[in-house]
Amino acid sequence: MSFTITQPGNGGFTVWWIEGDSVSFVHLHVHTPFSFLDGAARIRDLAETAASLGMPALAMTDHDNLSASVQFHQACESVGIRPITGAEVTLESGYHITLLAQSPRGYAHLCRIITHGHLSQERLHPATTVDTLESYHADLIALSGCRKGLLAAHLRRRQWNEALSWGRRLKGIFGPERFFVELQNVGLPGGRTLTTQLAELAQTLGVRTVATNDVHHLTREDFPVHDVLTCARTLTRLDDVHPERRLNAQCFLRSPAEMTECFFDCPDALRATLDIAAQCEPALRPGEHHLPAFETPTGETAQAMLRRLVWEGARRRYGMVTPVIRQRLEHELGVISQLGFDDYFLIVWDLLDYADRRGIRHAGRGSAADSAVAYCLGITSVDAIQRGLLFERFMSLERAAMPDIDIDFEAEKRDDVMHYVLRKYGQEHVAGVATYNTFRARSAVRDLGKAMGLPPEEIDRLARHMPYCSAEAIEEAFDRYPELRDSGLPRERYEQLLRISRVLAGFPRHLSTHLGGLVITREPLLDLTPVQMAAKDIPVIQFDKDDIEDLGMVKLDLLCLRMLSAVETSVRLIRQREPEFDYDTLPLDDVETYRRIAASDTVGMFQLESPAQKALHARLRPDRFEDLIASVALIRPGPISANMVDPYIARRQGREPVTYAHPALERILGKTYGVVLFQEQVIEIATAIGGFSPGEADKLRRAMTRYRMADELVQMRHQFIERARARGIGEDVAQSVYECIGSYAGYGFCEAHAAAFADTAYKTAYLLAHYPAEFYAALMSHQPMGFYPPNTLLWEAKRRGIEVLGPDVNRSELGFTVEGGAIRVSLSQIRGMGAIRREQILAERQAHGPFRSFVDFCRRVRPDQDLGRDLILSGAFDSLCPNRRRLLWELGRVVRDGGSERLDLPGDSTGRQHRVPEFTADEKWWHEFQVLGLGLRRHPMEVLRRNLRGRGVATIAEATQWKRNGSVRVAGLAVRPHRPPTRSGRTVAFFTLEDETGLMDVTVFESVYQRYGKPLFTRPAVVVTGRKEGRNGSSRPDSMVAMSIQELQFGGHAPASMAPKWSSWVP
Amino acid sequence: MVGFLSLPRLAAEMEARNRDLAGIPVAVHRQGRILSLTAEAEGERITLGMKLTQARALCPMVEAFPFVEGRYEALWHQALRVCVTHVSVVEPVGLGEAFLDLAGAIAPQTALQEIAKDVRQATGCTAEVGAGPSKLVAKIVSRKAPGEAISADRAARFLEPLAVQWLWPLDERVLDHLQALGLSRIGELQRVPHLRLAEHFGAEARRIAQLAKGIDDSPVESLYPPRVISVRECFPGGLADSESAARVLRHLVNSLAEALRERQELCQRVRLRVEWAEGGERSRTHPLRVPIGCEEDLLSTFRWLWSRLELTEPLEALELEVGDLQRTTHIQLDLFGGRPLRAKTKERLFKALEQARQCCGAGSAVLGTQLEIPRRERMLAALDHGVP
Amino acid sequence: MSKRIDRPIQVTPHSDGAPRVFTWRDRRMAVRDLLDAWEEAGCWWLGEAPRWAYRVLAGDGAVYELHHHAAGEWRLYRVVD
Repeated sequence: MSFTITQPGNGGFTVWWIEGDSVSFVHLHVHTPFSFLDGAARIRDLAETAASLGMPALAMTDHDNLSASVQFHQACESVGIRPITGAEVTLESGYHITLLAQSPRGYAHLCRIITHGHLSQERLHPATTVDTLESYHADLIALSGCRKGLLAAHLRRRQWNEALSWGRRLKGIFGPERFFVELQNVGLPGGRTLTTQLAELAQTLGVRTVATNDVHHLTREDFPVHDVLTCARTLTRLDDVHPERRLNAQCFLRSPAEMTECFFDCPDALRATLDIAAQCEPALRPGEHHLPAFETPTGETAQAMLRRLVWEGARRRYGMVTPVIRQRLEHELGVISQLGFDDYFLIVWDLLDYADRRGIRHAGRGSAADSAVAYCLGITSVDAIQRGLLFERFMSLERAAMPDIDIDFEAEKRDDVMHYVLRKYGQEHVAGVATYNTFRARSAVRDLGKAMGLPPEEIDRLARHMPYCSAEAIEEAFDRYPELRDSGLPRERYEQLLRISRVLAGFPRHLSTHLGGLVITREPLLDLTPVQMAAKDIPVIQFDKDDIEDLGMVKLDLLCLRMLSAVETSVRLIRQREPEFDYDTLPLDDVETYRRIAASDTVGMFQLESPAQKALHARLRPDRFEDLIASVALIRPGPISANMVDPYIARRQGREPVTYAHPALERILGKTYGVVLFQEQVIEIATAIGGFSPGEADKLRRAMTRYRMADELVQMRHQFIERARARGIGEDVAQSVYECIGSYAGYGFCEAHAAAFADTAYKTAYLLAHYPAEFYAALMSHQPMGFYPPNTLLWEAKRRGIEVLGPDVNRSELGFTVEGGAIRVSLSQIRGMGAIRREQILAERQAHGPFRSFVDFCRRVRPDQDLGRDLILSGAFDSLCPNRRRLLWELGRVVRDGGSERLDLPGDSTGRQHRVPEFTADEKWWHEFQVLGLGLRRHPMEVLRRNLRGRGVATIAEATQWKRNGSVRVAGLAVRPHRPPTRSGRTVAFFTLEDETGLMDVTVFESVYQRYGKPLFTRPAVVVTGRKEGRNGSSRPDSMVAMSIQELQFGGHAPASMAPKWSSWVP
Repeated sequence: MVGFLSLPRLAAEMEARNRDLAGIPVAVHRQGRILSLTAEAEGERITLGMKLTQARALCPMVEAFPFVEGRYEALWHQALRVCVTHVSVVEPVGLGEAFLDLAGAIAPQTALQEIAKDVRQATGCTAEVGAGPSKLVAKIVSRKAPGEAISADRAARFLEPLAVQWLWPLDERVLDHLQALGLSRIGELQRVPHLRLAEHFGAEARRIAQLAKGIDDSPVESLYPPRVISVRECFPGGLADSESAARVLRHLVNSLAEALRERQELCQRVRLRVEWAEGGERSRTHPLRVPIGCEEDLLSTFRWLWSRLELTEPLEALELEVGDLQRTTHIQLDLFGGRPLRAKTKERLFKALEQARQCCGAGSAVLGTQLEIPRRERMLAALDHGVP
Repeated sequence: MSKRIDRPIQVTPHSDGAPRVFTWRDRRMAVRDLLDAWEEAGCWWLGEAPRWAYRVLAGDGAVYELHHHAAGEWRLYRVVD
């Protein structure tokens, strides 16, 4: 055995050993799944396999990105091998070169090279120049590349001199110590000759060779997965031929012994891998923080400015600053300063100040509402002090994690704020955050099914029936869900597809933007990450939100909330008749508002409208703001699976006594009647019972939520029990308290977040109670959003007695408006009406007055055939000419000629005008539905009502009147069927049944679902037989439990030529 | 004059006969929907396309059987064989329907009725016929006025009262549009001036107008009888292991390829049939997008068919068949072994091709890239083409 | 000019698997030189097994392309005159 000790020069040292006869080896050209749709080996598997094969290090070299760096780093460290960060970079000519970072400085250079490649070319086709390599070569090792490297390409074309020249250039840039000629022996035609020639060339150049295997999959057997991925990437099928398709399965992670066999005649090429690895230290330095800087306009320090703003804000918010308030604010400011986050808060304050000046509505959400400083700065609207919210949930000295503030903005105006931030801090310091689309069940089936050559109709059917689950759960889905099992699709045919889909579960498919996420750094971003352009012209870093934290960067989330846009629109509409209306000062105790919520009359209300919420309100009967906070927190998997809902309701209503497992819990759980509802309570309990410091307690809470920390959790549980016992608390009590918080913490809501949401929820409820026309018009203008589809909202408005007027070319606007208490459908609702067109219509109307006739409209606006037809069929011209069929006939000629006044009708050879019969009411309704997606004058179920009566089917309004626990048979559109996770783990489906008279929430338990559940997800309308629900003191008349479900046939009822096309009906 | 023959109850009547269910309503279904009915079942108000469950609800005593691929072919071919004794050009268009070229028939109606009678006698199935000046009219006549022959001058008048939906070559989109314009009868459509029609349908208007008058230029194609080559091997002891099966498959494919080579033909349809001990048998037929003839392609196609047979029993016999044969008289010369060509070589090659064409005619010499090249050679040729 | 043959033949390989001697048209030919060798995965989705392809210069001066299929069969794929 012999040892070699090397010292790369940064003070560290590395010991490599060479055992006996076997030579170890390091793979230096390896693709992870972040070589999108090309790398077929998981990072963890690569690291573990490399370690098990005795390799001391492993490199990653993805195509033009470093996205895998953090996970790669962690995976290698966890198995005790050194991670080498690198990339396979594309040059302008399209050729590849492999670069490896020797140090963090080399990493920063690599980031710059990759960034240049992305930003200097069109999106998705990065390519950098040799000059860039020259500028940033320091601390990088270059390998000449695979067959797609220029060196190999020249030699394959027998261009020895050109190869020599290029080799000399690279040697000149990187120097003989840092440039290697890459040899690969992967069983390709001409490979042997090429290897010989490359070795010769290296000798001529006076540089070394290095052996790699261009690893794209872990084992030989994984080749099919890689091949299918290649087809998906190149949009070809397995049967097709494409230059990117690999010829054989040799590009896998070979063992050192196998590599030795391949290169038995070039032992130096093998040794070189070890020498290179020895020269490369890990490129990332975890634990370092890279915080942003805020330039204060007044020259004061960031800390001083923050303090000043906070005290100003405190006086505004509280009027008088009491000692309690002062103490809390001082504590928070102290922690913020110690952690160095002053600048971060100022950045957030500054951008919200900009938003306020531009009149953009915003609302802070998340754990930031635990901070009184955030409240005083106007970041959130929840008073943390008054609500007793724990600052440590948001930020603590122990955890010392990066702050993460999320702010909701009006959907359309969010980008305005983002661009402000980009402008203010400059592209060198700000960029968006990446996110990765991964293979989930549906996308896997579509892409891979197509690649495997399955017929498109079958793929479509399979994908549409597939539930939204991870690709891992696909095979199980076939067993579990009747709409797949009974679909008539033979399972065996899809074995291969399902198997490969499962392997690819969670693989990233491509990089896209995490909308609204921004990172801001003090030092240049390119020291830490490459940057590339994403859609919407926003530069993004190549890491996602999880990696950002590990890299020590700080993130800001500027989110879109359509409800805020809807609120803004409502306010604008309301102010047309009540100019003094002020949304921000609405009273929080309006009786009518709570009455409606308690009556589950909540369609359209933010957070409160789902069937689960409605069921809860019927039982909880909220009459104060605290109840709403509780309801937002209760309807989540956490409380449901931990069985918190029933006890909470019982105790709130005084039907059950409030008990505490330990007296110390009373202070913490008193406001929630002894039930753990909030994450802050978890922290407080860990402190009070387990004696954890707030920071440790928060760490416990986080360990409970992140699967990556499973081992730590076991340790902490042990600690909790021990410490509790040391404080004199019985082991049983300690165990049961721990179980209680353990089952909850993973999913629960943060109280601050719940309070922030409850605020908006209440206010939208108020709007609905007092200004329903304006509110529904606003909701319709900002679709898609909310729980219910637009047609359901429309009918809910009608059921409240609000009239709905169809579109009109002379009266409709861009959004839905209110006309004399009625809702007017917008121009935007018309199919095919693009943004430019509708603005053109409005501009034309504004400039030259209302349209006088159909022909006048066509002359001034010049619509094309399709748009003209859709406008006619939607009824937009009814006020000018009620005979829509006549206008249709006219349309062809008018569009062609630009229109004269004469109407030329069929059968006109004698010059006489014939009468064109108008469409029937049925036909009009059907056309409107097709064009607007809304059934304006009739509900679809009205069409079938007579026939349904004959079958003993009642309307929902009738069924609502009937006795609880009585049997009912109703029919309607199946709105929003879904299968949330349940406490028992069994499948329960929920959906809302809608007919012309109302809504009925339906619960479908597992046995019924397995037998009858297929039509729910595949058919728009169903007949449901069941019994009215009534349990546990609930008095909800509009809910039932299904005993059987049948598909509802429309055939024979709609006009014959107008049999509905199912896809346009599915809500 | 074009004739149309339809055996609308073929599958159901065959099942009824085979299972001795005369007088009982019988239906054949596929994927839960009714595909074929006997007259008795029609009498119970069951209709084609209806859901099976609905049909059973209407008529609980209906005997329903699933559609089995390949089961009804033999009977249908019997009917087609009868047709070819009467006319020379027969174009089957699916199971139970065929166009017949009656050009030259002095009394087309009589000829048709004789064909119908003979088909009924040979198959025992209901046969409906109709004739008209075009395929469009012939098919409609067989439904609307079975047994009749409508001459060209009467075609437009015949179509007049019918709903536009009867114009079966038109797609749904066009039919919807016509309906929206208020045109529900073919007669109304006939009266619309061409210019008005063009405003709505553009270039399609001409075809729509012609169809409305019963004019349809598509000829009857001679697709029956098909010629096939088949090879078969039996395994008295039963063939159960996949390795041997693979070897046998390869061997049979070699024979087929050899046969095609000798006859200088390509095939555009393949069929694989297996039999096993208890008299069970199964077959899969597959039409091909392009004609093939080389062993490589035949092998991969038959392997694919094999994989879709879902075999569970040891085999007694294996039969491979290729059909839809087309002559080809080309010889493929592989001049360059897939190597990339230099500019000078390319130039000489094109000159040679040009000379060959001048000598022997335009289609006599064709560049190899335009012929079917086995997949593996295309893979090798494509290698390194991804290199910029 | 080359001609595609694709017929089974007898081959005696070296220990590393490359062909040493083969019989074609009743003539035994020794392999003078191994010009090239590569592996093809084939149509794995149709159950095809991988094969090794060897381009050799034979004793008669012609170049032959021999394929060794995973099941053990050797075939002469192509002859280049």
